[in-house]
Amino acid sequence: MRGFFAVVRREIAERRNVFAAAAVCSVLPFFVPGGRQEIRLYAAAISAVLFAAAISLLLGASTIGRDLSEGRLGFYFTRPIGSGAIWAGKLAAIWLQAVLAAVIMLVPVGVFDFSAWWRETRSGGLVADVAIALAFAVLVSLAVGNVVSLAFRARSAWVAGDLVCLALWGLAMWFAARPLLLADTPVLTLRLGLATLAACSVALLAAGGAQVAFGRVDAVRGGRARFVVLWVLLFAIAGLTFGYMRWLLSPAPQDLREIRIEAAAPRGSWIAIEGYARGRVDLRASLFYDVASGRYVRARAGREGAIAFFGDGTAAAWTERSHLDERAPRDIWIGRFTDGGARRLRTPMTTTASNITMSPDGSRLAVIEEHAISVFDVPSGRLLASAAKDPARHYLRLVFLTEQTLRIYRMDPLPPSATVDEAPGPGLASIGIVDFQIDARKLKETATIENLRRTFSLAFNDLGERLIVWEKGGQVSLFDASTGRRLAALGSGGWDAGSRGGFLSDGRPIVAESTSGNGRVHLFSKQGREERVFDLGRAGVVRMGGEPAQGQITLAIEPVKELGASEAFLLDLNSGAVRKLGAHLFPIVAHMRWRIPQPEPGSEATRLFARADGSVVRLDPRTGELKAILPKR
Amino acid sequence: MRDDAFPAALQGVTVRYGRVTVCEGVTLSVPRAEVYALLGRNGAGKSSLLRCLLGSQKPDAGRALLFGRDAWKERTDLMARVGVVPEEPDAPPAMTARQISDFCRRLYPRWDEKAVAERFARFAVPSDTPFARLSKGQKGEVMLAVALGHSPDLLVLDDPTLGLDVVARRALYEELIGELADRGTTVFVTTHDLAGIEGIATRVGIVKNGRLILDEETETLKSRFRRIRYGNRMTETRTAYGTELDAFEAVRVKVRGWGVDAVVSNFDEASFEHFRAIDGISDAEATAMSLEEIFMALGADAEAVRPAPDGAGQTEGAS
Repeated sequence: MRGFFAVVRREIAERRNVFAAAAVCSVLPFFVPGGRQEIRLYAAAISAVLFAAAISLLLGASTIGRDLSEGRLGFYFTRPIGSGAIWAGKLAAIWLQAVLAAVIMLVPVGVFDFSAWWRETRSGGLVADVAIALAFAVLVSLAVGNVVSLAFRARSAWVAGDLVCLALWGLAMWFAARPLLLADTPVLTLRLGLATLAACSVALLAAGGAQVAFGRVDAVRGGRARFVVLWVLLFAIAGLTFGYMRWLLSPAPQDLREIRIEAAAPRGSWIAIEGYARGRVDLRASLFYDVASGRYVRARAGREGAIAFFGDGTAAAWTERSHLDERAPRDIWIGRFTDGGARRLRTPMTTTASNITMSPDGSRLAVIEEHAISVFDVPSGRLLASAAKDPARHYLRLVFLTEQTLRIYRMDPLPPSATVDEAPGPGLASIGIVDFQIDARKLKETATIENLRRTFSLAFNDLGERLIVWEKGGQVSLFDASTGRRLAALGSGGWDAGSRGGFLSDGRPIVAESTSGNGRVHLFSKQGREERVFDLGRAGVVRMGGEPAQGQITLAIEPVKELGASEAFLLDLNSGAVRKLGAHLFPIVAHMRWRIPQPEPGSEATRLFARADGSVVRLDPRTGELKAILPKR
Repeated sequence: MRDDAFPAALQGVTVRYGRVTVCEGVTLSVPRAEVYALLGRNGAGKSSLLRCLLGSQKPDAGRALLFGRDAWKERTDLMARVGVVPEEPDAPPAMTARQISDFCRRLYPRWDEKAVAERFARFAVPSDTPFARLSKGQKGEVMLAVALGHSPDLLVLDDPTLGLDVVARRALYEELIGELADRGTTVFVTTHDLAGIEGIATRVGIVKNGRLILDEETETLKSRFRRIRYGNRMTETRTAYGTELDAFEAVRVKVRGWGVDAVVSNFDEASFEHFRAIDGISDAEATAMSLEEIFMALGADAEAVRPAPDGAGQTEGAS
């Protein structure tokens, strides 16, 4: 250590004018226009970090490489000082000088504006932020300056190898990190970026150390040692990054901390789930999971927007970002569950798809994106037709009437900020029904439902035959979804009064409501004639679940005094019997983000329930058997 | 090998820079209290050997030993017993002579600050002038003073008189002689100043094209080398030239207008008397040779055949 401290002392003494420069620069924040304490503080903090980084870069570039090229490293090597002490002493001196220079720059403002310092540190952690920024800035600048200087001052052929390796390494890191960047995970990306930066800096420093330790004053041998150590370490980091990325982007369903049900297959037992996975910070995993077998297919990390299952439940379509450029086209992926494979359809879409609809036979696929509605041929991936959207209108739903005709439901007008579920402000809205002739590429206005008062919610049946509209003031109406003709009033208790509803799998409307704390379910014919009313007793909000069997429907009932704590019930539509299935259970069919096509009676999704802790269970209404599905504990 | 019997030794040292071999299989030993002068032209490989000996460069083959220990592996410990005067004074430019001494004081347990200060005074070196602003001679004197500051057991000098004027060169040799007289320090020196080192070196090695072609005590070397000049003519009984020097190992023979000028490497008086008696040999005289003349006669002055390698650390071309 004697040698180390001697080198440190010597190197600092050699460049003590750095402190004088820092002292001069420390008064600059007082000349920042505005003169507010906070502005001065942050100006001082930023300039101190930048000054320290610049000093580290300059001194790092001059310390060993320059000594070596000017033949002055021998002064140390002919003394009883270890190679490590020479290298570490020189770099430690620079590190110390940079940090002390930064402290000198911060002192005047710190003293003058001490109260602001204290306030910002307590509220915003200013001191910790500056310390972290300073540590990184000095470490990275010192490492980069030192190794780049060593490489170029050696004037050896290894520099050419360095440039080639740098290009290859950059490519490797880019390909390793790109999926994470596509996944839009700012926290994870920042943490990994900083960790990678720190690891690379350590690798750079180690390479500089290897040059001094193995080459000493021999620049050729030292250059070789530096080259080998540098690129072995950097490619090892690239390999680790690649492996870590693979792990990050490969979560299993069991890794999800809490599960959001995105959609469920209309037939079979596949569901689409999403959630934050353990050890992956803010990375949202998106998977398709087979409840029956436990198999799963993973969507890539860039999945976004709508999901649509094929009618037979054996495949699903979704959109992904494939480019970091926000304006670049999105891809549609078709995942087939039978073989676990996925196929990409390249599209001209430049925004996320808000809706994906499959034709009944799965041969065609229609998407609503921000600017257009497009139809693709699934087997070939070819764009068949595209229709520009009217930016003033809100597009609600697509239905394939035939392979050649796509029906489009749109709302007009709506305030720019409106959504389907929450249309703010007064006024009237209308729903336009438009048929898109795919081969002819023509749009034809079929019908309009006019004078809807501040529409709150809509429900379509799967075939696009019927439409339920919840209007302002409690009006609940059934419409013919082809002609726009109002068929019947389904109730007067509106959305605000807890009215919820939809269609059974046979196309009959069903509406639940709660008035004066009593819940009821109204079942109608397809023409809107009330067939039966089921009294549920005391109930807050009643939501419809799935049909675990034909003639049965699960309900989620929130108690009047405990809204949010859902209890699951089974309603037998034939006998009118209501049976409690369990507390704190919520049918996932009522919980899904993408509900069309609706799961068929008896499909697995109708027996799945979400719990408050984010887990999913399977409850067989017939036997009462409860089984944990995800996450498995 | 005893630890201190041979303070410096090279065992089959080979140094390569890429495909260029600078030194090959160099073996030599420097006995204690000897002054070993390693001679050779620029690019002969002297500086590379010196760097290996000081543990600053790892040989591609062979070992460099200091006090019987591997110089590369144990450099840090060994340097405490070695003083080094580099070819190019390499102290940090901003350091003054006093600061250099102060820096070294912390590193050497045996540091004699007073003796160093006295040397600075004797050399008339300004103690508070930055090293970069000292003259070439003063820089050399500072380096010598510092190299002797811890009373080293081995003093290594890499062409210490390069670029020095006569006065500075003399001062350096006087200091060296004084040190040798006082302490019997072992010295290993590479130099081009053959005349200057001749009176000091007790042993000489000559490197040519990376190989050690001679390694011998100076006195022995000088006693066996002679320059012989003689007239040479035919007589009735002598019908051919060229056999008259058969009793000697002729290193160089030049036929000139007045006769023959030869250098022999195994001179002895008896053989010379016999040579003089050969029919047709006239005016034969044998003269002693200086180290420089021997160096020239051996052809060690011939251009090194290998180019100095690029990026070979310190200035290889000025060894």
